Amino acid sequence: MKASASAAVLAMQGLSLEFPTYRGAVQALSDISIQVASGEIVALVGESGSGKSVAAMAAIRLLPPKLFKISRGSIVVVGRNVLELPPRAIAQLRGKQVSMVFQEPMSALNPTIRIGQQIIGVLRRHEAMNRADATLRASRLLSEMQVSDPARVMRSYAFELSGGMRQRVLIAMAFACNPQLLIADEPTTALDVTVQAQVLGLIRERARAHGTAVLFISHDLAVVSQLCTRIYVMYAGQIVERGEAQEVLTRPMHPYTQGLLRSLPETALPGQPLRSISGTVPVLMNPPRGCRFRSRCHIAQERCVEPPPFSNGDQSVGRGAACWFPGRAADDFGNDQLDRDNRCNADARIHGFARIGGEVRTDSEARSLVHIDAVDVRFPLAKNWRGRPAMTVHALNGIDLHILRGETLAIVGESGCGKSTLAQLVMSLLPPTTGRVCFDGIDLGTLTADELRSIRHRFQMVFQDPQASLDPRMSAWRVISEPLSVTLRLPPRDLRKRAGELAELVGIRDELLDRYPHEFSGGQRQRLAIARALALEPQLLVLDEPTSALDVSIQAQILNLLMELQSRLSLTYLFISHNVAVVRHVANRVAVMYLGQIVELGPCGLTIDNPRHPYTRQLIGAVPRLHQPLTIPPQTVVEARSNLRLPTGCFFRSRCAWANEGCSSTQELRVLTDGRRVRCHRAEIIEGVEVS
Amino acid sequence: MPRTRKSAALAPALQRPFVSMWARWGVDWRYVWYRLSASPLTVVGFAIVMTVFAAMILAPVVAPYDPNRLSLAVRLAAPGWHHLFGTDEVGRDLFSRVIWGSRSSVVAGLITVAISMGLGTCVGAASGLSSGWVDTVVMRIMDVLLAFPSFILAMALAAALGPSLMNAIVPIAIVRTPFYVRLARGQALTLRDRAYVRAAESFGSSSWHVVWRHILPNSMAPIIVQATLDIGLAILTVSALSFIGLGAQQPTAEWGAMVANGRAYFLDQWWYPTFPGLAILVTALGFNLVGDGLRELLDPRLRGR
Repeated sequence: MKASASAAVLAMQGLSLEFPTYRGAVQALSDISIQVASGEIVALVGESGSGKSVAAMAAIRLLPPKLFKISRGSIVVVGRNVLELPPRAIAQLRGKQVSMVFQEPMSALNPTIRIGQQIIGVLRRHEAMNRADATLRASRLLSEMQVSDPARVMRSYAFELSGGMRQRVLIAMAFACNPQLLIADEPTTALDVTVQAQVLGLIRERARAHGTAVLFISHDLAVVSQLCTRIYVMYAGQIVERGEAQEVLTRPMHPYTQGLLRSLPETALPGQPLRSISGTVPVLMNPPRGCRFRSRCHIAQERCVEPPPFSNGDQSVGRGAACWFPGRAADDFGNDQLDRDNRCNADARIHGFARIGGEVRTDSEARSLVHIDAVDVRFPLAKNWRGRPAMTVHALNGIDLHILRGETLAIVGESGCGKSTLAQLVMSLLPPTTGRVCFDGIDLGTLTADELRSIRHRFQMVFQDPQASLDPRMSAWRVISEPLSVTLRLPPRDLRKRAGELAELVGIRDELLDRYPHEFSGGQRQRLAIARALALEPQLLVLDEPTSALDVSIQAQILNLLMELQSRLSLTYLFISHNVAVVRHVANRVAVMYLGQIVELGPCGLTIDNPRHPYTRQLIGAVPRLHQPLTIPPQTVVEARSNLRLPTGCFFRSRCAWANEGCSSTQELRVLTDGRRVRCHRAEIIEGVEVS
Repeated sequence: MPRTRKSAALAPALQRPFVSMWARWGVDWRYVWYRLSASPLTVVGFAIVMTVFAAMILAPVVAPYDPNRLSLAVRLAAPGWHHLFGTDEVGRDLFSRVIWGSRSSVVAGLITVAISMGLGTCVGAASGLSSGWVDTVVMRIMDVLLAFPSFILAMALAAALGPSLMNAIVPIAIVRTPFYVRLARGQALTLRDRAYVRAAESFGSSSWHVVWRHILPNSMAPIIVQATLDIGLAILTVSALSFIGLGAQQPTAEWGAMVANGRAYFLDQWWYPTFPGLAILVTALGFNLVGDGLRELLDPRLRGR
């Protein structure tokens, strides 16, 4: 689809925008040109700090007026110059002709007003209609968004709805007045994959049906490849590559785009180091002249000191990259594609190692480092007036699991399935309600507080968000050596020395250790957190979503580091993640959790490529993949059940497409012929159906 | 491997010895300067507070007369070159007494706040971390303290203990403690669930270590703001207690007591109660301005603007 300048709903031309701060002006956007025509879904991709959200907010002047300065360029939305419109006209434009969907649906909805009133409010503000008509229209909008019971949803408050439902309400509001332009800023980042696939489907259907132009902002290349027709790749406040989506993602011209694609775990062989982009995004206070990517670029030459022009000239559409050597590294890139095709062969090797997952029990007990034995975890939620729990959260239900020495066991599942509870259980930060957790044959439940403290050094944890897990008021070396200072009471000089050695191990230079956590980048902070976890020389590392707060290029660096450390220090990993591609890359075995139960447990490649349990199939099927069409799971299967009251029989039965009368009996985790365990009595029948 | 460019890595390293002491508390002087230049009132507040502290410390040098020297020849003299603020009914120099008075009034305010802040922070942090029945009991006691009209409670306590400056400090400190308990408890409740606190637990640190190393340093910002705002209030309350005769006694130079004595002369010798009163007003105002400024400085939401 080619966009001509006249049909463009959104046209940004040579936009430069800066934020004056006390340290100097931050060049947030430099010479950005973007066009979106009606009916088109255009992606704006880039890592955090690349300026993609700023560009979108600037388009409808949502930035606080005193805080930014537009030095050059123009923005035309629906034929009107946004930069010269009076505030009142902008307000008219917003909601009616242009609307926006944000990442966090909870904070975008007013918690004190019922959903219905909020949608009706939007409708009546922009269109002359009475309350009854607006109510009717609102409920029709919601049913178009595949909300099964619009009347109930309209009576609800935001906090009574699930995340996916809230996002659907927001999209309904965004489409309420049939806007000509929808700006979606990471609308599915906070959602689980099955819900994400549905929400993407909704956006695509609506855009197609009404000819809405969509500017879709995302960091997720797989999502973008499934949804969008054209792509703009942003780096450090500039557009570095643009073109048709499939074209850009299969034959990237700019080294940055190539680097991004290579950083994705799905483009590499499992267990092999990922080719990450070294270094970090430059500070935009005084951006380097010339190509801003050159300090991280492996093909950079002297010429890159000059600002590179777009390879196809100074338009805002068409295929092109802002690079002196467009497509230079592409030959190299083709090999990666080959690698990907070779993956199946490699899998066979890896499975050979991972087959232990299903072997005879006595053997696995001998190799077992952690044994979780019939564990239930329940939390009392509310108490009644006599202090008895009135409601109980069934966080974990009958978990039986061995973590074997030297392996990486991954736990995957959607939010609320109990993966983080399991992490805390293994870390003994949480006692099991029933059952026991043994570490190296020692039942942790029988230890006294002092004994437990003395064994804690053998299992350590890396948390999700490095920003939150490092105390901002401690210098880096104190952070790293904190476990040592707690357990050994060494003098500060020894601590500092040991911190230096640990930092070296995770690739941080010793002389940086006097800095404070906020002075490090996200990836470096996660390295510090890993160094801290290694300080006590543990045998087991519990990694709770260690890369989900990081950009893909940084994620690749951290995954490489983790794999390297594992082989050097012979560590055992419990790897908790919702990202199937990451798990596929690093894990030997994978356990899939649903509603506090393990529904499938087996070798990683086998389980992810050919899942047996209906839930696993659905989860894996909804994972967005590069170069594959969007598969939208049916509506009935999306909402996970509440774990306040456990269902009888198979927990998944109400969402399962294969359910029959046999599912009303309790399901056991049974061993299949290929060695994996599945909690489904029909696993062999489901086997025949392949998931693409 | 992340490679930091050499120039970028060196620049902060060179400033390090100077920066590190403040960096521990996240102080960025350029940021401080930027915010201060945007709010002249805070600068005025700082200037007042600095002047008051200078007067307090340098009182023997700055004050032209002995504050307690009687000189019946110049009773109730009007302000002039010899006596900047005039004299009182027994000929003591009011300027010198106001300067010396800062040593009782301001010091009393500081001690009051130090006691209530120290006590309140410890009790609050402990209460927030323990949760359960200890927390409930502590917070209900604080509710009871808050339910009393604070000045009347302070008056009653001071009266029961007997009139003296020390006995005015203790009740005011007690009355102000619940505010810190609440603040510190709230901080402890949120910090308790931070990942770095859970990390500390995961490598087996004692709760003492957690409180000392993580909870207290990270909860101090709002408490310090509250304390600065409170100093003004405490000075005011100490002066008020002295005014009604429950605080400092003659011949101690104390602003509240001076206003009380001067009240009788207000119509004819306006300067007698006015200058000590102004001292109270300006000092309290100064601390409040500094407190407001600190609140803005420490508010992370305003960062980067």
